[in-house]
Amino acid sequence: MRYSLIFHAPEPGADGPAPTEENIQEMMRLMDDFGQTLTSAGVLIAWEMLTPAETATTVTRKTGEVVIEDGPFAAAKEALAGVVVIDVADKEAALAWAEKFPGTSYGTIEVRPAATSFVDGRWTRP
Amino acid sequence: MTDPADRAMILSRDGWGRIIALIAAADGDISGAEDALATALERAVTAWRAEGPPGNPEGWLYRVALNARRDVWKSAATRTSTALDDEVLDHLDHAGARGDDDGGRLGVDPADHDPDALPDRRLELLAVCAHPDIDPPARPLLMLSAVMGMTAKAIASAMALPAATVSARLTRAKKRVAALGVGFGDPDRLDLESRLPEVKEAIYGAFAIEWAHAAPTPRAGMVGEAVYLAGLLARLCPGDGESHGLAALIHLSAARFPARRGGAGEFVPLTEQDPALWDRSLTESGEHHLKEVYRCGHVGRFGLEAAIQLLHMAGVRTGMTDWPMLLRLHDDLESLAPSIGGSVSRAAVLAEVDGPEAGLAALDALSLGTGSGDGLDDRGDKRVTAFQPAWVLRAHLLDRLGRTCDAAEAYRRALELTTDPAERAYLEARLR
Repeated sequence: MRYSLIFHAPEPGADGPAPTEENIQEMMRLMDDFGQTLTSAGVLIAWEMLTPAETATTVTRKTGEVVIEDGPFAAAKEALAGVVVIDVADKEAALAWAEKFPGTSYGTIEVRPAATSFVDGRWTRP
Repeated sequence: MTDPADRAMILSRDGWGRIIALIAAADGDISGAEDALATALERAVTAWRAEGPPGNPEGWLYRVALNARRDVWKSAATRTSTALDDEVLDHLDHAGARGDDDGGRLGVDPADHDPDALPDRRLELLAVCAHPDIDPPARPLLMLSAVMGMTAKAIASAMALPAATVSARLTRAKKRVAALGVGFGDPDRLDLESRLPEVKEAIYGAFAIEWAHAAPTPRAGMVGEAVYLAGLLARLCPGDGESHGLAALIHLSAARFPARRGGAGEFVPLTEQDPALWDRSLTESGEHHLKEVYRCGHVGRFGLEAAIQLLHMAGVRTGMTDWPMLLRLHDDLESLAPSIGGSVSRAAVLAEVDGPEAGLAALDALSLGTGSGDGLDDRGDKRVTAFQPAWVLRAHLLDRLGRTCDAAEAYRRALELTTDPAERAYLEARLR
């Protein structure tokens, strides 16, 4: 079953001191370890780390016509920073991996099961 | 900051904690004491290079650090034009006076002073690190920093945590201690004895740090540091059975570290380890501390766990394990300090005494009433259904009963819950 580990973290320039270049390199090494481990366990589907929320463009048709706007959906100190999609047996297994995500030292992981996924040209049903 | 290599030449591992404890005892300011000691170490590098080291380096460093700290207090008093806190002055004089009294000549000529005569306040320092106001996860970090002088960076790299995180947690913890204003030179106020269980938990925490992140290669972590801290506590509380119990447990576990991974980094369970790879002197120290537990006449949770480990090790060494005795120890442990890990280990021992069916029945009893849910019980503990070791044991017992299909299913479930690469490889091999 597919689970998304949805990672929220403070936006660059939010409260607190900015990480040093050394901190960043160190976190990248830890993240790389995590990616290697997920890959060798054969559970990784995709992992995207996102550019800051301000680079987002939102698209909606709520009003009936297409509205495309620059900027994130909602401004907040913490924003969606990344998504790791893994294929594991159940929530307990997904939580076991989420516990090992290095970014939890500065952000929060939300674990959500996929309702359905679009794979190889069709929708899956869990 | 003095280079760590220089520091190691100037100051013994014991010396750092002794001096920090003495100076911070005055006002509870650990960071201030660390700055003062850093200043003293810097001066020592120059002074000792020119004049050669003094006869009693620690007495010299203590005196210079204390003076540096006094300068800070004085200038703080002038700046705020308020009188220096009487209590701080009292403690300061107290600490200095005790040093003089105990050592005789400390104030006169530290050079020929006996280092053992410096009063030892490290037990108080350990107790402050485990104070209820300090977040439990920060307590081991604080001990490693304050008692052993480890830098945030060194702690972070051993624990696979970002240095910024460790350093932020340490700063917060030290502020808490300073805010307590505990003059921890005054043991009466600390109620040391009632604080000992938390001190032990924190030292055990430094040892048992379950790796926060999945890493492709195992890290040595804090094993050496935890061995030191546990040994120190046992030396400071020679009459406390559980302090020896903790020291025994940590020494025996550390002794087996070299045997936990094979040549290719693969996972090796205790029963398949080569006893020749176990560290002899650590094993002997562990046995010594366990004897002390029984001499003290008080066996607690750590003492029981150490006794269990020693029996397992003796079993592997001789090929003859005393399972009934192990079961008795596990029963005692279960009534004294029940835990999911302990219950699963007890089921494993029960299977050796009464057969695999009995072990399976014990496992089933554990999972009764714990549906799969979100894997957590009411207290937030992991449920048996989400507890990887329970599935490994179940698979092993089913295997022994010849129920190969059921065993494979249990191994698969264990694998799903395993994030450590070496353990995954081990379980995958069992599945094949």
